[in-house]
Formats: sequence, C-alpha cells, structure tokens
Amino acid sequence: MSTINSSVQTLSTMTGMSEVELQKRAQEMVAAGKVKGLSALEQQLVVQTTGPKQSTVEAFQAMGVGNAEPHALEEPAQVLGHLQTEAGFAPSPTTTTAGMTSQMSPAALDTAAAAGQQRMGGFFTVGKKDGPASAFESINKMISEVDVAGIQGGDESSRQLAFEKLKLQMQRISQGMQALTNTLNQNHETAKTAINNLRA
Amino acid sequence: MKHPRPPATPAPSTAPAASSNKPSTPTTVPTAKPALGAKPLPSRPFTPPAVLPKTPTVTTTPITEAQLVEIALGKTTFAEAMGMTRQEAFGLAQGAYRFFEFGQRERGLAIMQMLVELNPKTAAFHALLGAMQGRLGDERSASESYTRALALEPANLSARVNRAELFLKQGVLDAALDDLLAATKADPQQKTALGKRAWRLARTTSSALKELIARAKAAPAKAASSAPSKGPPPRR
Repeated sequence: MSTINSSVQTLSTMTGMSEVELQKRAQEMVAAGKVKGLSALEQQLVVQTTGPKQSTVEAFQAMGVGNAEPHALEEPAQVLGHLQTEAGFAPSPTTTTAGMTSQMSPAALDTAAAAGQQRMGGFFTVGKKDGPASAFESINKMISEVDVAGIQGGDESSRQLAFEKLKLQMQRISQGMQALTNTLNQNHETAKTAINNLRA
Repeated sequence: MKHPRPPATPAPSTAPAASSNKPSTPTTVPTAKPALGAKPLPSRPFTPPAVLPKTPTVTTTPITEAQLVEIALGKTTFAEAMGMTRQEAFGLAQGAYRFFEFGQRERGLAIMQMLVELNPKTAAFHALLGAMQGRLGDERSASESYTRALALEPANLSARVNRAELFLKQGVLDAALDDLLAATKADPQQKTALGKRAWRLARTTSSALKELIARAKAAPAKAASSAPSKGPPPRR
C-alpha cells in the first residue's frame, strides 16, 4: 500500500467522511477554483523541507495524526513564558526575562492565583459580607440603575445593549468564582481530614 | 546484609536556628510513652522551615459605578479595573487547566469562561477555552472561541491548529488548508509540539488532497474511455 493511499485513509478517519465523499469535496474545491490554498501549502512544505526526504519515522507519525486527541490544550504556564503583551491587565512589576521565568514556576503561579482570587473577592464585594451571591446581586442592581441616557458617546440602544452584555459577563464571572470557592472549600476539607487522620 | 548502626548522639535540648540570620524559637514536640521493651526515641525539637510559602496580601477596592460604565463601554477590562496582573490571571488559568486535565472538566471550563470575561483581550484564554469547549463536544462554541483568539492574535498556533482540525472534521477543506498554511508559517522549524502537529496535519492533508484531486481528474477520462460507443449494439 502506498503512502498516498494511506494519507487518504488517514484523512478519511480524521474527518469521519468516506473516501467517496472526500473525493466529491475535492472535486468541488477544484470546480470552485479553491486549489490555490493547496498549492500554497505544498510550496510551504517544499520550501521548509531542507536536507533529506521525510524519514520513515516522520511518515509513520504523520499516519498517526488521525489518532491524536483533537483540541490540544496549551498549558498557560508555557504561554506566559512567551507572552509579549499585557493588554487588558494591570501593569506587572516584573518585565525582565529572568523575572518572567520565575513567574512561570508552579509555586509562583499558585501564589499569584491566590492573590488574584483575593483581588476578585475584594473587587466584587461592594460592601456586602453575606457572600458572593448577594454581592453579585447588588452589582446587577447597580448595572440596572446606571443612567444609560446620561452617558456620552454612541446611541442609547447600543449602550443599553452593552449593559445587557455586562449582566451576562457578570453571570459568567459569578459562576467562575463559585467554582473557585468550591475548590477552596474542598481543599480545606481535604486538609482537615488529613490532619485528623494523623492525629488519630 | 546488616548495616552498622551509627552511635546514638544525645539530642540537643535546643536546636540551632534553621537560618543563621533569623533565630527561631524551637518547640519541643511531646513524645508518646514508649511501648514496653522498645528503646525510647530521642525527643526532637520542631523547627519551622526557614522558607514558608508566602501568603499573598493584596489591597483590594470594591467595584464602583464609574468602573462598570467604563467596562460596559469597552474602555477598560475587569482585570484592569481590579488591578489584576497577567501573572495572577495566568495562575488562575493554570488552575483551570489542571482541573480540566485531571477530570474536573466543568469546573475548569467555568473558571476559563470567567477569565475570558475578566480580560477578553488575551488570545491565549480564548484558545484554551475553545479547546475545552471542543473537548466537551461543543464544537460550535469552540470554533467561535478559536476565531476570536485568531482575531486578537493571528499567529496563535494553538487556535490555528485546533481550528484547522475542526474544519477538516467538518469537511471545510479550503478553510482548513488556509489555517494549516498559516500554522506552518507560524512555526516553520517545528520547535513546539503544536508546530509539529500542524506540520504532520499539513503533510497528511496535502498528500491526501493531491491524490484525491488526481483521482477526480482521472475519473472523467476513465468514464469517457469506458463509455459505450454511439454506434448500434453489436449483434450476437
């Protein structure tokens, strides 16, 4: 069996479409004049393939593409290492490369996460001590009471829409905070159980 | 084989400090009464470790109406308004990633959705959220998240490769090819795992499509050659 035939089979496995269906799609691509993308990709593959031809190992790995779990998750700690921008965040004190490397360590990230959680807790409190649920209720009330007509810029309907969107955002934040709080409680319970077991 | 036992040394009544700079007060741990016949264990003073994990102390301010207006109008983000740094946000994202990877998928997803709302300007958060949504079977939301990530950062490899794969799965071949081309350009030396994945996908898809197109071109010719001639059917 040739490599090319195996590629068709792999693509068929990956897409969940039969070879006949794939061929139909390929024909449609040709008919619509969308083969340009394929030519460009081939060119890129040729340009970058320097030195010897694709090894047997590489060919084997390419065959296994269909078996890899889709939707690869990229670890945030790794992303933080090469993140160039700080858009949307408060400025951080460390910007040097050495500082960035130390920021990526698991311990540093855990400490930072705890700080972030504290920060969120304080921000979404609004003077309420009854827990996050009532705090979010009062924030939603605050959003409803904003005088949209009095805000400068844009038309009123778009501003109204923006505030409706804000309510949805608040709902998602509330759910996320709930998930974090449950985690803390669970960790606390686990730690308590471990200590009690040791004492016993 | 028996190892020689080291000579027993009497335990000091007070242990030396863990670090010479900071003297610490040792506390003697009360020992239980030894069992009959057993040698009593020397009492060991408990010295707290020199480096204890730091408890973060951050100054927080409650949200104001003016901040809400600015957030609603897109002038600032929740993260900026509360003074959250990117390390703090990525620390929380790392927690969400761990939850998701170790089985608490809904919890991980909820935290990621929260982070995207806290700062919608970070492409990495959209990409990670998309991957989580995709793994949970919500491919439509996943595709939207990848598209948002790519609008913010066209060179985001994770979103690019995952969306290409999604397009392939949906049979949208031309869009998949565009994404694969961009992904191979983003990591031409295949330095990252995602880059390697992109290249493998690109090689497989390219060779498969080439073959399929060749087959498609050959099919009409074959059909024409095997088609019956227009003359009368041969008599038996």
